[in-house]
Amino acid sequence: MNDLEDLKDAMHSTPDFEPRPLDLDAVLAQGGRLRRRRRFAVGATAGVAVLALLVGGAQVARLGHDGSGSGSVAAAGSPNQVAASPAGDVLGDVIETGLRTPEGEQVLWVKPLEDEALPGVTFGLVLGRRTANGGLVSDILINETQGSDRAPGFHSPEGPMEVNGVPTPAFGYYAGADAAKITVTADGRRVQARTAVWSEDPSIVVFWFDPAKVKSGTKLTKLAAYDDQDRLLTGSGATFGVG
Amino acid sequence: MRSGRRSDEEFVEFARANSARLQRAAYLLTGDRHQAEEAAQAALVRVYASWGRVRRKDPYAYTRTVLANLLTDQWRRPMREYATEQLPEQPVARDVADDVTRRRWLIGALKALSPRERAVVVMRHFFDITEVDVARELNLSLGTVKSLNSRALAKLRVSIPSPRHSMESGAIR
Repeated sequence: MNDLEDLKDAMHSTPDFEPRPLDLDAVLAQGGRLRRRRRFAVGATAGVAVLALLVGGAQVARLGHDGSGSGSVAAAGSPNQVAASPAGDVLGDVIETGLRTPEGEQVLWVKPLEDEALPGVTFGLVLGRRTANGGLVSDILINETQGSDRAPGFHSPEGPMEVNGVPTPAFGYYAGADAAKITVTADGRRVQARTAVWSEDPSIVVFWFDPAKVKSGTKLTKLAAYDDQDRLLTGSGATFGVG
Repeated sequence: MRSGRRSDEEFVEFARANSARLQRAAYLLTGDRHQAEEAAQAALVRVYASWGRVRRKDPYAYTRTVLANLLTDQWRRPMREYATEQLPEQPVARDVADDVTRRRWLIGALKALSPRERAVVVMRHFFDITEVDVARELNLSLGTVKSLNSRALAKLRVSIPSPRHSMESGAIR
């Protein structure tokens, strides 16, 4: 028999493997590109400038963020959706989640993306907040990184986190017009997501989970989409990303 | 701009300090030199992308989680490695002084474990984190982690220390 220290010793001194210096220049270059695609604007430190404009009777917030822009239409709307027309870097309607934070209501919107390395990706999904003056602040941008952003199934679902001490919900989108219900198992308990159909493409179903029910650090399994007959749809079983 | 450069310098320092350990962990997880280098590099790419958020917290733990997530992705691929009950024969007349022989056998036996068993062993005994943390980072139940760990150690012919011995040696977390 071996003892545990033998095993630890073997793992820490692998006789047939010696680590080599990694190409950190490549890490910085690839990481920088990934950062631009998955950008976190964390509160005031993100240097987000908000300029509210009035266009066509609707209040439009345009965000400057590291050279990129984002805008939206803010209005009082029905639960989950705000009636609005495309403006700036917001494609379609801004989706209200009903989740209130001290920094404003958390909202979701679709943002156009263009990257030579991602020929099948034309948009990403932003989780952000609507501030008291009606502007938008982006917190998390997710997007597909392999293949088409409209391929049937889940695309880069993001797990719940805390941004500046504020819980952010697990969220993402499912491509497939049949999706009538989306659920996840959180610490062994099945939780149903709230959903909204993207105004520009009814096959894109945006979903989010209440952070009070699906908290940061919760073990999430069995992310699943069902049709209106409660039949499991393709792509179910996807896992959430971290950061 | 200056702040960004300082942040990059911190990341490079972090990466240099930890890349060897990450590569070794990745080698233990994949059993392949090239995959290990690629996995460690891929993990650092993701960490750098989130560096502004994680640098003031526990970037090493975050990197470990990212590496674990990369592994989880591999579990989901159709082409996967399956567990085998046939492990390398342990030298019958093992020379206790021959540490290299023993290490080589253990690493060979580790490679023969199922991916999930191997992952639990590496997370628990290489990274030395608690079973609760292993469960959270690998997205497994605690019971599954305990079961996989116990089964893997049995296959590795590793005797499980008694609680008394463990507490004395600080192995229980």
